[in-house]
Amino acid sequence: MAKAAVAAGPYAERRGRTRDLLVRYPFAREVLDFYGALLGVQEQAHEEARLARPGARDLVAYVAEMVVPAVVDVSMAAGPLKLREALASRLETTDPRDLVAAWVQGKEQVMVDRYLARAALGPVLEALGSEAAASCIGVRDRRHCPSCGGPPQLSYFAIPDEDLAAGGRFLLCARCDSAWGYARMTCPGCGEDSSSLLPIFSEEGTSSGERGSVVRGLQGRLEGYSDAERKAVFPHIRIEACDKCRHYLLNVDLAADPAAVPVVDELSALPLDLCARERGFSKITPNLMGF
Amino acid sequence: MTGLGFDVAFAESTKVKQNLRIAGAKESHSICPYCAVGCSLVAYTRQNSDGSVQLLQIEGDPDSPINEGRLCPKGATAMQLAISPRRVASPQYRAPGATGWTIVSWDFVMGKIAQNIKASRDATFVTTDGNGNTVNRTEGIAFAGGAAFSSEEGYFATKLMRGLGLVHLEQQARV
Repeated sequence: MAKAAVAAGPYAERRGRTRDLLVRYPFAREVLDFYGALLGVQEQAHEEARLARPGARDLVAYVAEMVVPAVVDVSMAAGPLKLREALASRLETTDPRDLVAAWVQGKEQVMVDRYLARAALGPVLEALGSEAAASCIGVRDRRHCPSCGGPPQLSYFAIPDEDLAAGGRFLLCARCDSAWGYARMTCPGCGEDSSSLLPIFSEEGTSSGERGSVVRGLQGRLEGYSDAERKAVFPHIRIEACDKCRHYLLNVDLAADPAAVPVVDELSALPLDLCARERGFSKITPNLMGF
Repeated sequence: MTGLGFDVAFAESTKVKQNLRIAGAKESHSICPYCAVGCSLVAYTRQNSDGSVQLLQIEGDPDSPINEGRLCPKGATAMQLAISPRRVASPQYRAPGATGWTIVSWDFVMGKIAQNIKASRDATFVTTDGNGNTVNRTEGIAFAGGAAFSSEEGYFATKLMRGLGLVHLEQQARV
């Protein structure tokens, strides 16, 4: 199914991180095992699309014919029972082109349709770049992807280029995986920028002050603080919520874990999603695995 | 939540979630107190159940056109001004001839400083110089400002000391 691994690139990074997180987050094994299997198919689709370079007008047909069957195969082989059953029943009655077209057009979809379209289209859009992304339908504003108009899946803080600097915030597109800069202390769901309406939820002990470190990202520590206070499960991920629109997304701080690959780490942070939902927030857009 | 059927991951994650110590916090814009550049800061604070506010983290604001997330070494440690455990928490006094410090009250310290300033100023105040020019200056006191002075504190200290007639003012502003 999957070709031999490419040594570098986004898919090698995602595969490596998936392996690391399987060890670190055994509770997410079911999701990460499946995602690891899917990555093989996505990487192959990415590579083939890079060579075939289908035009924007043929995008939907290309994805439906060349990528969807492999995504269906891997999902039937490695996916959970409910996904397998839902896929089998949907494909009996629905043309895959309609599923992919709905995702390209930004229409509301049931979860299984969206999963299939998203898993198949994502690597092709990544491979083809801006021209293909421009053919997708969606709002082009600060809160949506400037390339394809897709919604933000997550946000992350980039690694700063200096020790005493804080990295900028970026949003990552749920549809084409492009990243764009976005202001901190501003809700990516509704644009609210009053910080009293933007609660942040994170594990205790993960801020630099609680660790006894004066400067975020530097190792130095004042006396009286122990490593025990740093034993957080997600030292680098926090929930960024909005009391105005009641949405949230997860933020990955790459300065706190430079090895993190935001799209993979976000998939593994299901306990934080549960915390956010418990507090009445819903994610701006569910991730590939539906959380 | 388990729309695609990841029931095992959901159940396992629910167990993990129950043991997470999650706390709410908020970020606020602020400005570095130390110099006239006015670098923007992001202050990360948490409101405790007793109503007190705990400062958790300070960093440069990456969205600021002034400093683009960067801070100098002094500004980057601004949090120490508020929460350093090394900070001396109460005034201390070493009496003339004594070898050690004793902890004293703020009232004692204020009274003592006022008395010493008054005595030194009275003893060393010069109204005219050798050429007969009116100078009205206090030559027996010098003032040194600390490294953690904010711009406003430095301004206030200078006004006060000039008002007392001091001419020897220094400020350790660059560390």
